[in-house]
Amino acid sequence: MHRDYSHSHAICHECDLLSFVGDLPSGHKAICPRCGAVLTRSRKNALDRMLIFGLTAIICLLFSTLFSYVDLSVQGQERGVTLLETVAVLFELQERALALFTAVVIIGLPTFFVGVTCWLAVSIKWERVSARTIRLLRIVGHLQFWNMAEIFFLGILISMVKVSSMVDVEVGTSFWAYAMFNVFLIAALAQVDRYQLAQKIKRIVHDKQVSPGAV
Amino acid sequence: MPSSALHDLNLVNCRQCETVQAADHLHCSFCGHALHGRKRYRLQRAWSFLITALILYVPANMLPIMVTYELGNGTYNTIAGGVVALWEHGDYLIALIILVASLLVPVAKFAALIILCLGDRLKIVDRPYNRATIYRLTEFVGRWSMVDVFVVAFLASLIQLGNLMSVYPGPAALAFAGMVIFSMLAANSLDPKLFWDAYEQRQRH
Repeated sequence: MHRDYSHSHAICHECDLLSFVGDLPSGHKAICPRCGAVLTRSRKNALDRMLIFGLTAIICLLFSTLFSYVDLSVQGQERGVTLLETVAVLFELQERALALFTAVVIIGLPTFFVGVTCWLAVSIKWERVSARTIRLLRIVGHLQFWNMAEIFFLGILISMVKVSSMVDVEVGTSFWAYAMFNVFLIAALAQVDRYQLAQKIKRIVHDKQVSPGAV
Repeated sequence: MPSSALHDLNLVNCRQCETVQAADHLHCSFCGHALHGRKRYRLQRAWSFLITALILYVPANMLPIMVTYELGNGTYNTIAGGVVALWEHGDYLIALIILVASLLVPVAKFAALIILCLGDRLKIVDRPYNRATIYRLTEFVGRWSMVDVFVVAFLASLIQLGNLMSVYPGPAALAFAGMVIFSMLAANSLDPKLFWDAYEQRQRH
């Protein structure tokens, strides 16, 4: 029979070394002694920050879809595009795969991420969790690399420099909203630590089982 | 000091909730997620994604990524052609960013993935710590190659001024996006724990 490691130990994702973690003081991180990978990071007020950054990001996202983010004028012709129009125009040009991909990685997934971050923060904070809540954590962990909002942002900057010699381009209101959205999305996701949140969820589920009825 | 939780202690961590438990179970005792010892079959998956990405690399670089129509005249630009055009125009910083993100990073990433996939059959980079560093870099840097695809997607949606000036994505845009996606999937498929397994096996013999 094994010792019970389930509430105190972590296995390194990269080198498979078992380490004691215990209750990590907030603001500290645990590093694998052999390979140096970060095992877990305990952020200060992680849940509050997830919620606040997540909500701010949602507001910024709303504003960034409402107005045009880049305006163009050349020889009297003017044109501005919003984020959704970018996708719509690609669809009209029969570039459906490119349009779909762009829509997913610059709008779909980022929206999903802020939604999940807020949802996790609220449900853990008010102790409305089950073992299934953890599935969301894993999905976020898996998909994190597919969020390309900030890469698209870099793409906008490069494009503007690229065409500035031929046409006049100006940034619109939504450009700044989208920039802020990226900042707050990254800030919210930085608070998500699977190990710490899973430990919190396990504790809540365990407490509920000890004293049922106190939901 | 025991060094491998699976081989020396018969312990695994649930990939969903991180609970450390005996490796004999099929499902996690807490969340019920399936438990796996090693993602060994993943190496084959990594190879197939990598080869797909390598094949897509050819059309991504040979075909035009962007087509510009100006007063009826069409200009077809490949990635390398775009870099040269930017450089000649004097936009050195942008030319360098595109050169690094679209041409150098994919090649470096292919080299890194081949080294990691070949593993012990290749005699270079045999220290697991170095392999782990390559793995982390590959995982981190891969998605930034997508910037060129977004430049094309963005310009095509913005510059639609009829006969005056219009920009369309070329066939290479999709090939390039596919190449980046498949090389990201290849990196995702690798299990870094296998580097350390191989290292420990060598230590024992």
